[in-house]
Amino acid sequence: MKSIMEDISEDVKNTCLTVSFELKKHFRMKRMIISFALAIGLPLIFYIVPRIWASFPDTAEEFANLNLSFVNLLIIISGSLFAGDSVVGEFEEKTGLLLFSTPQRHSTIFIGKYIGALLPTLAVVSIYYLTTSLEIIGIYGTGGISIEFFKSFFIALVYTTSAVSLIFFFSSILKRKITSTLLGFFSLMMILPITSSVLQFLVDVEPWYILTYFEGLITDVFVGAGPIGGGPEGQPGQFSPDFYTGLIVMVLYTLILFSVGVFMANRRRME
Amino acid sequence: MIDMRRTMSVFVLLVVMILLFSSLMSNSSDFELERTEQQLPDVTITNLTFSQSEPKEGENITIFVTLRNNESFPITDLTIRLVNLRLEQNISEKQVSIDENDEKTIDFNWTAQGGSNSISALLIPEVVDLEEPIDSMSKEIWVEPEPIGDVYSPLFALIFIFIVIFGSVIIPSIFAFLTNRDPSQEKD
Repeated sequence: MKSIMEDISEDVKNTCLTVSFELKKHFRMKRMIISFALAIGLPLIFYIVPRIWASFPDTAEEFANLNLSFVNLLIIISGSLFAGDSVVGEFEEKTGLLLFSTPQRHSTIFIGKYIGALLPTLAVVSIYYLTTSLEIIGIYGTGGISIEFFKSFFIALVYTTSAVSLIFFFSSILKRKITSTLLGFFSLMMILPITSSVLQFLVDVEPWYILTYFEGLITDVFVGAGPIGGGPEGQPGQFSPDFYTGLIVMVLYTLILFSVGVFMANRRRME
Repeated sequence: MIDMRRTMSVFVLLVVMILLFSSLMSNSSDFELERTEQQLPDVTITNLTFSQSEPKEGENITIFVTLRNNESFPITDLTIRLVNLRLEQNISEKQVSIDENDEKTIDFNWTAQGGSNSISALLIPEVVDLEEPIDSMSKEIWVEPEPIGDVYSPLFALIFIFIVIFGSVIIPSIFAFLTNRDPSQEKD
C-alpha cells in the first residue's frame, strides 16, 4: 500500500502527463497556430487600418475599448477549438479504450484534459492583450496602459475559465464532437445572449444568472457600466451588469461546470 | 397607311404628354422649393461648447449653444434640441426667440455619462410638416467613467479558480486516505 504522498505525487505526475499530451495534440492539429495567429492578427487590424485610412481614437481607453470588444469572440472560438472535443473525442473515436485502461485515475485524465484546454485558451487571450498593449504603447506611450487595462485582462481570464468550463461540460455529456463543439460555440455566441436580451427587454428581468450577461464587463471597465444596448431598435435597457456579481457568477459557472463535467466524464463508459 | 398615321399620332401625343408632365413637375418642384425657402428662417448654430473639457461621470456640466439670426426680423418660434447620439437620448430642449441680426447663447444642464459622447444640437423651426432640423452641430466629449470594481477581485477570483482546479487533482488521493482505502484499488 502506497503512502498518501506517493499517491498524490503520482496523481500530479499523471495529470501533468495528460496536460502535456493534450497540448501536444493541440499543437499537432494546428489549433494552437490558428488561434495564436488570430490573437495577433485581430488586434493588428485595429492598428493598421486607422494608421493607413483614418486616425486613432483620442484616448488609450477608447482604443482599448474598441480593440478588446472582440476578445469575447476569440475566447468563444478558441474555447470551442480546445475544449469542444476534449472528453467526447475519446469516446467517439474509441481512443478511450487505450487511455482508460492505463493505471491512471480517471479523474486525473479528465482534470488534465480540462487544464489542457484551459491553458492554451488563456494563452490566446494573453497574446491578444499583449498585442493590444504593444499597440497602445506604440500610439499613446506607456502612460496609455492604465489600471483599467489590467482589470479588463483579469476579467477576460476569469470569463475564459467559465467559457471553457461550459464547453467542457458539453463535451462530457454529449456523444459527438461536432455537437459538443457547435453547442458550446452557439451557446456563448447566440443562445445565452439571446435569452439574456429577451429577459431584459421583453420580460424586464435582470438576467444576472446568465454568463454572457457579464461578458461586457471586459470593456465596461474602460467606459463605465452603462445599460446594455441591443433592445428593440438598438435602444439601451434598464439593467447594467454589476462587477462583483459578475465575478461571482463567472467563478460559480467555472467551478460548478468543471466539477459536474469531471463527474459526468468519470461516470461515462465506453459503448 | 391609315394604321401608320394612327401610330404616329399616338406616338406624338405620348411624347407631348410626357413633355407636358415633365414641365409641370419641374414647375411644381420649383414652386415647392421657393415656398420652403421662404418659410425657413436663416438661423444657424455657430458654436457648441462645454463648461468642462474633461468632465467625470456623474458631474453636472453646462452645454452652451450659440445661435445667430441672419434675418432682418425677430424669430420667436425656434426649438433647440440637445441629443446624445451615442445613447440615442434626448438630453433637453428649449423654445427660444432671437432678435434680428442677433446672436444668442442658450445653456443646457447635462449629467455627464461615462465614455465617449457625441452631443448634437438640432435647430428646429416651428414650420408646418418640417421634420428635419434646419441646422445642427455635433461635438465629441470624453467623460472619464466612474471606476467600476477593482483590479484585485478578478485577480483573486482567478487564483481561487486555479487553486480549486489544481487542488481537485489531489482530492481523490486524500479521500482514499481518509476512508482508509488503497488508492490503487480505485484506479479503474
